[in-house]
Amino acid sequence: MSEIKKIKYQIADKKVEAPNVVTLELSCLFNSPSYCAGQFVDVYFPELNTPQGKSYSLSSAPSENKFSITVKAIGEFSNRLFNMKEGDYLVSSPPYGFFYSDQENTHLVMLAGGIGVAPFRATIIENLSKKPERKMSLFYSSQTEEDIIFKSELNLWQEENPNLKIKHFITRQEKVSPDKQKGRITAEYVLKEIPDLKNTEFLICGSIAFVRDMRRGLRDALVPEETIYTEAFFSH
Amino acid sequence: MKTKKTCDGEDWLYSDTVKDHFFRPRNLLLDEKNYEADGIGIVGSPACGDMMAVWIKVGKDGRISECKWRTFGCASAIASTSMMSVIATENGGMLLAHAKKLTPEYIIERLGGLPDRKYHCSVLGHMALREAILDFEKSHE
Repeated sequence: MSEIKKIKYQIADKKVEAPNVVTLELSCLFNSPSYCAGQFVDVYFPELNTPQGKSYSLSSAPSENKFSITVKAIGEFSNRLFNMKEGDYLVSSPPYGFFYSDQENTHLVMLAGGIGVAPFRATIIENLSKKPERKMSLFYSSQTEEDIIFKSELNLWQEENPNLKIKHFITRQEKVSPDKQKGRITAEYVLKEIPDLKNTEFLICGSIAFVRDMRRGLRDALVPEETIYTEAFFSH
Repeated sequence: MKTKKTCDGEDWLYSDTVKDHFFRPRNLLLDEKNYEADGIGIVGSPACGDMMAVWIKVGKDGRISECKWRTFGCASAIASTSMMSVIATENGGMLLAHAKKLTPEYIIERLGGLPDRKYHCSVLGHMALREAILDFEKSHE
């Protein structure tokens, strides 16, 4: 079997998104690889004894002409990324994965837990740019309001686009703002907001437990298996 | 007192279904040279510690008639890919459109669960199947 292709990037920009969360914009030394919104790259730090690398969803969309990953510092590997500076170099695989709808005009219902919102930023931008008439709903769970990643962008996109609905869930804060829901996302809540399941697809991204529970909730409510896409993040 | 570990699977934390598919893997392909597949998918790398290859045959009705595989991976990778090959071919075979939507979570559910730290093992087979379908579609455009 041939060697996995590796691409060297320089960090062109670093943006703090929330406590312990940064977006690293990557600049390719040659042409940036093409990709689909929802794909990921494997980042390699061989000295950390992980030859297979660790996967990070691309939070940028192809239509932005950018290439970025959004990282939450939760382990040795992600802390290493979190602490990188502009001008530093990193090596990754080409973009890969199948976490995107292959349909043209379905209503996309996105369920995000924490850093699981990263690929949805890409999905939302790509659709707003190319198919603004497409219906999209994002149900996004954060521990506190301060932890909401891409907060100002999400607010702006929702204000400007009637076809995009965003509902925030806050799980670990005593009092929450009136426009946000206290507690965890449940399939029951989601399905009440999405009365017509025809022509609807669900994308779920977050921790293994979040993805498992959300999928199970949708399946228990008889949402067809083939309308559900999943992407689970492991702790790095 | 320390319990003596054995190789018979008696003291594993895995479900009976996982053990069954590990000890009796279904649809394993050992001789690919004499196998004519309609689509092939390979993911991972032996250098990285895990690698998965999936071969599919597709009927005229657009359903997967055969799904063979081989892995350089752990017990969970073997069991989850074995289960994936069963899911892909049972009840007359999955339509390609549905097979593309097969999730690691469904494979794990059919296995009766996997420890979270083994989740990625079920992703490997799922990715290799997607690659095999992609390979089939490219060659039948």
